[in-house]
Amino acid sequence: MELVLNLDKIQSESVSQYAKDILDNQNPYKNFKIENYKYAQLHKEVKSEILLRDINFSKLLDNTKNITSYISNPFDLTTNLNLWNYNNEDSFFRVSSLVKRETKSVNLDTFDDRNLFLDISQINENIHISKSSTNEVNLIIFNSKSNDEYPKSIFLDLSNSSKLNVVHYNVSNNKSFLYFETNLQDNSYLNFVSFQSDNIHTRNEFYASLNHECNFDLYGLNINNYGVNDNYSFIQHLKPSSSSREIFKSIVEKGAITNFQGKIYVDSIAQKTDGYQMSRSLLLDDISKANNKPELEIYADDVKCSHGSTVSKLDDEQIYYFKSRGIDSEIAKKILKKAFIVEIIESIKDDMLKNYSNELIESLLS
Amino acid sequence: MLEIKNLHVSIEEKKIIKGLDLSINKGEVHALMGPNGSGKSTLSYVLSGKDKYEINDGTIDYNGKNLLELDVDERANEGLFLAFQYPMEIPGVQTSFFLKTAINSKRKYLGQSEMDALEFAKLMKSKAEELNISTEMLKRDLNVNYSGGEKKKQEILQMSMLSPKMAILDETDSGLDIDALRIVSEGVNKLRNNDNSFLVITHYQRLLNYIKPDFVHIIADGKIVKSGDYSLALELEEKGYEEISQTA
Amino acid sequence: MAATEQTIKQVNTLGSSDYKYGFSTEVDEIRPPKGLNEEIIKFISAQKDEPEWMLEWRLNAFKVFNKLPKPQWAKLNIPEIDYQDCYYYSIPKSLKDKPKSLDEIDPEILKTYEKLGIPLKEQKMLSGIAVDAVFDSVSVATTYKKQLSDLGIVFCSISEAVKTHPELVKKYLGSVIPVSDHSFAALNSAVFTDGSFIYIPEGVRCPVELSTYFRINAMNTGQFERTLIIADKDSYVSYLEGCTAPMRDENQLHAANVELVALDNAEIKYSTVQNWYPGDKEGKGGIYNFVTKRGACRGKNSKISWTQVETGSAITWKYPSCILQGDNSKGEFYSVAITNNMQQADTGTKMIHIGKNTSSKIISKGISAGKANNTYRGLVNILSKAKNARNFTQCDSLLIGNQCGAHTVPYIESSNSDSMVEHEATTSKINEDQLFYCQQRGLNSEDAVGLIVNGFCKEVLQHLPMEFAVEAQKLVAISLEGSVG
Repeated sequence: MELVLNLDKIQSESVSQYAKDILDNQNPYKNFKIENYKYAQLHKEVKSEILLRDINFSKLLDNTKNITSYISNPFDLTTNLNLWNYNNEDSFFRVSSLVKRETKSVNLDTFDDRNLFLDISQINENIHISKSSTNEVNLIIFNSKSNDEYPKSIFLDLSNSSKLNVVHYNVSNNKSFLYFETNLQDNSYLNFVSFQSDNIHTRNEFYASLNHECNFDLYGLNINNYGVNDNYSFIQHLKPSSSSREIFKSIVEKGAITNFQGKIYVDSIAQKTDGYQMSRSLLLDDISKANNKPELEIYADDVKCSHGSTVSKLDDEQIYYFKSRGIDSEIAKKILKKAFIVEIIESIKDDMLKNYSNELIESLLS
Repeated sequence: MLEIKNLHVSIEEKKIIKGLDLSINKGEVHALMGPNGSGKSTLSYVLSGKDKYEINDGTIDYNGKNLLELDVDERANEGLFLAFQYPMEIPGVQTSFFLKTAINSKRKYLGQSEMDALEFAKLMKSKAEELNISTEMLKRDLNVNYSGGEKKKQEILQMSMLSPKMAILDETDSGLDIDALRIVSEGVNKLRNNDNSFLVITHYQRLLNYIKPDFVHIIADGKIVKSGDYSLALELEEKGYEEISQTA
Repeated sequence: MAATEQTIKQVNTLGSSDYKYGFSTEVDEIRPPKGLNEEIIKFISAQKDEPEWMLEWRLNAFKVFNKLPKPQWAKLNIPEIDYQDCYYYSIPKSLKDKPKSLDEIDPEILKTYEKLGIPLKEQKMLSGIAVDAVFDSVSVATTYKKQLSDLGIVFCSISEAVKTHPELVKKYLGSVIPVSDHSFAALNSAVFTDGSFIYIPEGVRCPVELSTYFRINAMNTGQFERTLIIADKDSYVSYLEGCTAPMRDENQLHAANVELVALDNAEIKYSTVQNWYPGDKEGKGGIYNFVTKRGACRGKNSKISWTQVETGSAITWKYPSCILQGDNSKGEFYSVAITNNMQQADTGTKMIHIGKNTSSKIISKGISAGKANNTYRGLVNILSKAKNARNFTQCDSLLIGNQCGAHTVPYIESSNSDSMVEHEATTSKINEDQLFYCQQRGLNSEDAVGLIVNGFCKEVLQHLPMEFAVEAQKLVAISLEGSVG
C-alpha cells in the first residue's frame, strides 16, 4: 500500500496531528515513506520539565549583516522546483510546506557582505534562497525559542560554480521542525554545519540533489538535547563526479533520544561518485537512547561509497590517563566530550564563526 | 617516601602480586626488573590507582598517607607520576592544552592560582627543547600519530613539567632507539634530586646504563626475589632471570 | 564430498519398495486440492498421523496468518502471492513432469553440475531422477544413527519428533519464532510439511556434522520446511543445510522456519549454501525463498553462529538472527549473497542484545551483477540492561556492471551506555587492476572474476565446514557467469 498524502488534511492540521493520523491508521512498517519517520515520534507530545536557557547571540549580530527582513519577494516555488527535476513526496514536511504556505525569496547576490545572518524563528512562509555568484559567502541560519506546529522550510538554489557555507544554530527550542532542500548545480559547493543544542523536540530534514562535479558537506552536532532529537538526510548523486561528506556527532544523556537516519543514493549514471557518511554517538547513561540508520542505495558501479556508525561511552582508559596526570574526572569528561565534537567545529570555514561556535559550545557544555 | 608492605593484588580472580615488599626513600632511584608476566606493570598500575585491580592484602604508605585511599587524580596531585608503557592516544585534544590542564589541576589542588598563558608557554618551550620535542608536535592531538619514541618523550615531558616527588617509569625504554633512549634518560637524570624518588621498571639492563639506580630489585611471580645494588643488574644480564631467581 | 557419497551408497542399497510414505504410488490418487484452508491443514496433520495438540497448534497459526498482513519492509519487488493457488501437501510435481533420464535435463544445468564436480550418479539424483523412492527422512541419518543414538542425540524429521519427543517439541516449537511474528512465519506454522529435528543432550559434542543435504530435496517437501535444533547445556552441534539442487519449478514459494535454542555453554553452528533455481536471464521462474531463521542463546556463555552463502532463488528474503538472552552469549552472522541477472535479495540479520556481556559480529558480503538488486538489512539492538554489550558489523558490497543495485540498510539502536556498537560499510566495483593482472597471467575474464570475488568473500567462506567451502567457492564463480563482458 502506498502512502497517499491527503492534501486536504495537511491543510487543516498540524504536523504532529497529521503524523498521528498516519501512524494510527496504518502500520508504520508498511511503507518506506513512513519508515523515514521511524524514530521521530512526531505524533507524540514530547515534554520536558527543563527550563530552556537564554543564549546570547548578540555577538553574532555584531559581525554580520542581518538579512531577515529582506526575505520578502513573493516566489512561485512549485514551478521552480519543477525545474529542479526533483520530486520528493517522501517527506510530508515538504508536501505540507508546498500545500500550506506561500514562499518568499531572497537572492544572496544582492548583498556585498561576506557574513549574512538569517533568523528564521519568526518566519512563517517558506524561504527560497538563491545564489549564483562565485564568491564564497557565509550564511547563518538561526532558530531559537520556536514552538513549531508546522515545519519551517528552506529551499536553496545554488547555480553553477557557486559557493556557500551555512552555519545553522538550532538552539533552545521547545519544538522545531526544519525542512531543508537544496539543488546543487554543476560545480557548486555547499558546506552546511548544523548545531543543535538545548532542544526538546526537533526534526531536521536535509535533502540534497547533486549534479556534475559538485560537492556537499553536511556536518551535524547534537548536544544537551532533552526529548527527541531527530535528523534525517537524503543525499542523491544524480550526475557523475560529485562528492558528499556527512558527519553527525551526538552526545546523548539525561533521558534524551537522538536519532540519525541518512541515505546516500547514487543514480546509475552518477559514476565516479564519492560518498561518505559517518554518525557517531556518545551514549552517557542507560535512560537515554541512540538510534542510527545510515543507508546506502547505489545503482552505479564505478563509485566509492562508505559509511560508518558507532555508539559508545567515553573511554575509561582515557579518563584514567587524565586522572593519572592529576586532572579530575569531571574536567576529563568535559575535555573528552569536547574532543569528540571538535571535528564538527573545525569544519566551519570562516574563522570568526569557528571561534564563535567554539566559545558557544564551551559554554553549552559546562 | 613509599613503603609497600605485603602487597597482594589480583585481577579477575587471578593473583598477580603475591606478597610484595618495597621501600623507597627520598632521593633514591630503584630499578625493578623482571621477566614478562612477573607483575611489574601491575605494580605500576596499582600504585597509580587504576581500577579493576583488587587489593587483597597489604598496605602502601606514601609520605605518611594511605595511598590506597586516594583516587587516581589525588595521587597524581600528591606528586606521584606514572610514565606509561603504552601512552594513551586522545584524538581531538591538543597536547599543549592537555599539559596546561594537568598543570593547573595540580596548582588548584595545592591551592595555587592558575599559571598564566605566557608563563606556561615559556615553561613548555624550554622543557620541550631539552627533550628535543618540536613545538609542532605540541600542537598535534595527544599521542595521535606519534611514533613510539615520540610518545615516550611526551611522557617524559609531562613528567618534567609536573615535577613529581615519586616517578614510576614503566618500561620507558621499550621501543626507543639509542638516540631517543639517551635523550629520555638525560631528561630523567636532570630531574633527579635529593627530594624526589624514582622507580624504574624495565626488562633489560640497557636503560640502567643511562639511569644509574641506587638499588636493583628482581621480581618474579609477584614477589621480589632478590635485591641488591647496581651490580645485580649486571649479574642478571650475564646469568638471565632463571638462574638468578633460582639462586635467590 | 563425503556426505554425498555416503548418501549415494545408501540410496543404492535401498529399493524403491522401502520407501516409507510411498509418494510415488500414492501421490496421484490422494492429491489434495489446491488452496489454503482448515481442511487442508487437517489433511496434512492426518497424513502425518499427528496428535491432537499439533493439529490445534496448526489451526491456531492459520487463524493468526489470516490476520497478518504480508511483511513489507524488504526492498523487493514481490509479486502478489495467491495462497489459494498453491498445493500445500505432496506439492511435488507429478511424476510425469519429472525428467526420466539425463537426456531430458536442461544441458545448462548439467553443465553447472559438471563445474561443481558432482559425478554423474549424483547429477541424476540432484536432477530429480530416482529421488522419490530414496530419500525419506529416516534414511539420511541411518548411517550414523547408531553412533548418534548411543550418545543420546536425536536426529530425525520433525514429523517423527512430534510423535517420539512431544515434550521437547511442545516446549520449544514456536518459542523462538512466535507464530504471530509475521505472516510467512504463521503460514509455515500452519502448513509445515517436514524438516529436521535435532536434540543434543547435556554435555555431548556431536561428533559429525549433521546435514539434511539430500532429504529436503528428495522429499520435495521443501516448500514449508520446519527445523528445530536444541542444544542442551554444554553441548555442541554443527549443522549443514544444502540447497544446491536447482529446482525447475515455476515461481515456487518456499517459506521455511528454522528455530535454534542454545542452553548454558552450548554452541550451535548453522551453515547454509543456498542455490535454488534463480529463474532464467529474463527473470522467469525461480524460487521465492522466504525464510525465517532465528536462534535463541538462552543460556549463559551460549553461542550461535550463522554462515550462509546465498546464490540462488529469484527472490531471497532471509534474516537469520540471534536473541542474546544469556549473559556472555555470542551471536555471529557471516553472509555472502550473490545476485545476478534479475535476481533480488534482501538479507541480513538481527542481533538483539538482552543479557550482560553479550557480543555479536556481523560480516556481510553482497555481490550484485546483471540487473540484480542486493540489499543488506540488519538490526543491532542493545537493550538498556545489556551491560557491556559489543557489536561489530562490516557490510561490503561489490557491483559488477551499472545496471544492478547494492543497498545497505542497517538499524543500530542502543540504550546501554556501557556498550559499544561499530558499523562499517563500503561499496565498490570490482578492481580493474586486479582483473587485468589476472588476465595478464592467463586467466579468462570469468575465472578472474571468480577468483577476485572469492577473495572478496573469503572472510565468510572460511567459516563454512571444509566440504562446503570448496563447493561454495565454485558456486560463487558459477553464479557470476556472464556478468563480465
